[in-house]
Amino acid sequence: MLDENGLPLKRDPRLVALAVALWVFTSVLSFLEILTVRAIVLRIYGHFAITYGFYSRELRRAQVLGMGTVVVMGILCLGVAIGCGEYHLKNFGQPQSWRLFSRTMAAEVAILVLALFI
Amino acid sequence: MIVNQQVKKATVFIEPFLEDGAKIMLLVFLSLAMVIFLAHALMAVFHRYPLDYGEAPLVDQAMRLAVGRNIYRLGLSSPPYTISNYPPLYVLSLVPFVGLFGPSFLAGRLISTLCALASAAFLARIIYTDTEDRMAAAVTATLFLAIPYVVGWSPLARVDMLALALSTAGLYVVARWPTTRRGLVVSALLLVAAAYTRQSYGLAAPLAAFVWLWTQDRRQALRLAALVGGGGLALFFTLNILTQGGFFFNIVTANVNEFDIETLKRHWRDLRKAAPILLVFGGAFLFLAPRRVRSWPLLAPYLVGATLSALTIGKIGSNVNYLLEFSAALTLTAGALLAWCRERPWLRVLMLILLALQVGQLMKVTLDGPVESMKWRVHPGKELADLEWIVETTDDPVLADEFMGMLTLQNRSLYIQPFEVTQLANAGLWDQDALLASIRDQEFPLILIHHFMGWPVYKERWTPEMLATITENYAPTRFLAETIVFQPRDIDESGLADIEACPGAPWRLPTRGDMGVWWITYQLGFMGEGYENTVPVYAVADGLLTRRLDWNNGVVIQHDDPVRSGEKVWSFYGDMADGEDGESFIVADFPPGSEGVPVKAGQLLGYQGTWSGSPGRPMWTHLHFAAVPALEDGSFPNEIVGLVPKDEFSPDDVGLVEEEEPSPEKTELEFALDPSPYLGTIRSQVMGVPTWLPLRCQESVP
Repeated sequence: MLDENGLPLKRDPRLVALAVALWVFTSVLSFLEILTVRAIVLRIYGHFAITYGFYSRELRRAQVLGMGTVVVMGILCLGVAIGCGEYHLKNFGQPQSWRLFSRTMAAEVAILVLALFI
Repeated sequence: MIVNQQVKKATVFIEPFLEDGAKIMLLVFLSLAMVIFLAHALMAVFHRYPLDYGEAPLVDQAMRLAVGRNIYRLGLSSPPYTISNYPPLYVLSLVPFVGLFGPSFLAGRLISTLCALASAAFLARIIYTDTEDRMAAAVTATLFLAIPYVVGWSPLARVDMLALALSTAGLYVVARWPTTRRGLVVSALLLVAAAYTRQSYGLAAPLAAFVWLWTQDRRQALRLAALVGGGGLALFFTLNILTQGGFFFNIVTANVNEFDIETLKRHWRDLRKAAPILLVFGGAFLFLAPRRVRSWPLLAPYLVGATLSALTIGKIGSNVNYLLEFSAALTLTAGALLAWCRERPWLRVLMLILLALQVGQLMKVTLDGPVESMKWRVHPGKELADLEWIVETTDDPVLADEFMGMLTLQNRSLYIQPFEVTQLANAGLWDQDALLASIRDQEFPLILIHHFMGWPVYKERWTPEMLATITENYAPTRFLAETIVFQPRDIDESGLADIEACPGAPWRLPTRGDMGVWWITYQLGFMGEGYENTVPVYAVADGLLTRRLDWNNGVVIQHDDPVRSGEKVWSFYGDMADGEDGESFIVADFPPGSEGVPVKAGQLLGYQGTWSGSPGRPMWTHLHFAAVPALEDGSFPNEIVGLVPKDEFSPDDVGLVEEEEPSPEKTELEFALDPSPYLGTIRSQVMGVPTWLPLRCQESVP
């Protein structure tokens, strides 16, 4: 980023460290939460559909659903890590960058808490 | 000082981000709650068969209205023995669909689901009108749709959601246009319409509207009272005169059911478990908000009125639909408090987080409750189709309870609403003799009695006299979708529900099997008709009884084997205990620790129970019975131990019983004998899969 004189903006190294740490934390957490989301999806599916044990048709569908969730979440997490990284780089130090951090973390915490209920 | 300033600065900096994060958290929870609501609604709305006892009577009433027949008959001296419990508005809304597409549940369920969404929208508009807080309004609407009672009831073809939509619309109009003449007339019309959809909606919303207007313009409040009260009464008298008193009889007299405080307590416990935070918010709103929140005079009376209305849930036969208006009131108060916190960021963050946790708990209860129930209700599609086919190929009149909708689906009118007439009979307002005579004369080619797992609701739906006459004159022939199919009993039939012993059998029967027998690979579950601890269990033959110290619900008796000469055999009697707390129903003559006590054939051992193997999960009233070969030394096989779970309720097992849990292989009777040669009953050809059979004797016992 440039200042009003066209020179590179001087960044506070402590804020840079904080932003990098937050980005790494949210990215890693999002990947770790793939399995949490998979578990939530499967539990909800189980409540709606699974009636019998190991060899039921619903259970085979659940396996496919679980794999699909992992793939979709994997792509989503990649998108979040790359997209958020780009966004924070462009808007470093701006309120919208901190807001995105707060939103990302809130969503990730929400998923973790959800898993406690479902 | 400098530190304080820095902290203050940091606090001011972080506040908006915290609130933003808390909003996102709540949004994630509410989004998932909406997915669950919609998935449940889709599963229910397009299901062909009845989902609730109360659906079919409403469709039946619409069918009768469509051909111009009176649905509010005075008295029940002749069939059909049907009652129209509710005012006619919802039934009227079904009439065009019945006329155009024939009787089905789809239209009624769609109306209800759309009305649930409309109610949510009106609740949001009430909050927005007062506060202009979009966030609080959106939370109010979605929170309402996340409540398990709302999720479970929204897609049913019942009157409640239309009534709720009309009353919340009336409240919204009053809140939005409190002083205009048009607003007054429209709100009065909506409130009267709500009361003429379901009579209990004549309390909370009109009360709230009146109090709200009283604080704005007293004359306007009196006008509203005159319009709602006058219009409602005029309509009541008109309908009552037109039906010659039938309207009053149906919606008032026939609705006065017995009140059971235990039912009220049970629902209160469930509510506390599902919505503790909403209840706290509701209480806080009532007592802390009078001078702080502008809409208090509107919402507090609504909450009080809805609470009073909800208390009637203690009536026998009532359900969670009595809590819908209360749910709406709770979400309104939560929304109003959230809006009030707008200028208090930290409080608002706390409230958003608490609401997110509340939604999480609501989802958990929804998934464990309404969603699971719906799944099991919808699941036996093939059995439901078979049941429909049986009804379709049987001539009228057919008696049914839970699945009386199988009749309306085929455009056939109902002959009886068993719950309603049973309540009238219990109150001494209806003479059931004519019906009993018809049952005795086997005038009904088919009777369907639904048998909810763990909940003997059929005892509320059929009088003891009806049940006794049915089991005496009809035989249970099939078990489909948790429904026992009764068909007229052939006088020469060899199998009788109340027979003591099959002809030629070496053993007598251990108990009654009025509702049939479950066959679980040589083990039998005799289902008697009655509550737990009422159906006696007898020794099948002379022998020596043993009841170990840790056996709370079972006994075994050793006999000389009448089939395998020279051998010993044990008869096993299990599950004679309460399914909730494990209270034993074995008679006092056989305390734990009994060993080698001589008993005679036909001696009373105890009573059928609802024990399922673990406390708090009651099953139908039944006896678990098996015939087990003795070991070489005459003792009983260890496999029996697995069938009688350790006594978790008796104090006498401390230090006396080995602590070892039964291993999985011990939980099955691997060496049970085929009981048919001993009892002379018919046997299942299907092994390994639980199969229901009527209790019948073999034609000849080998």
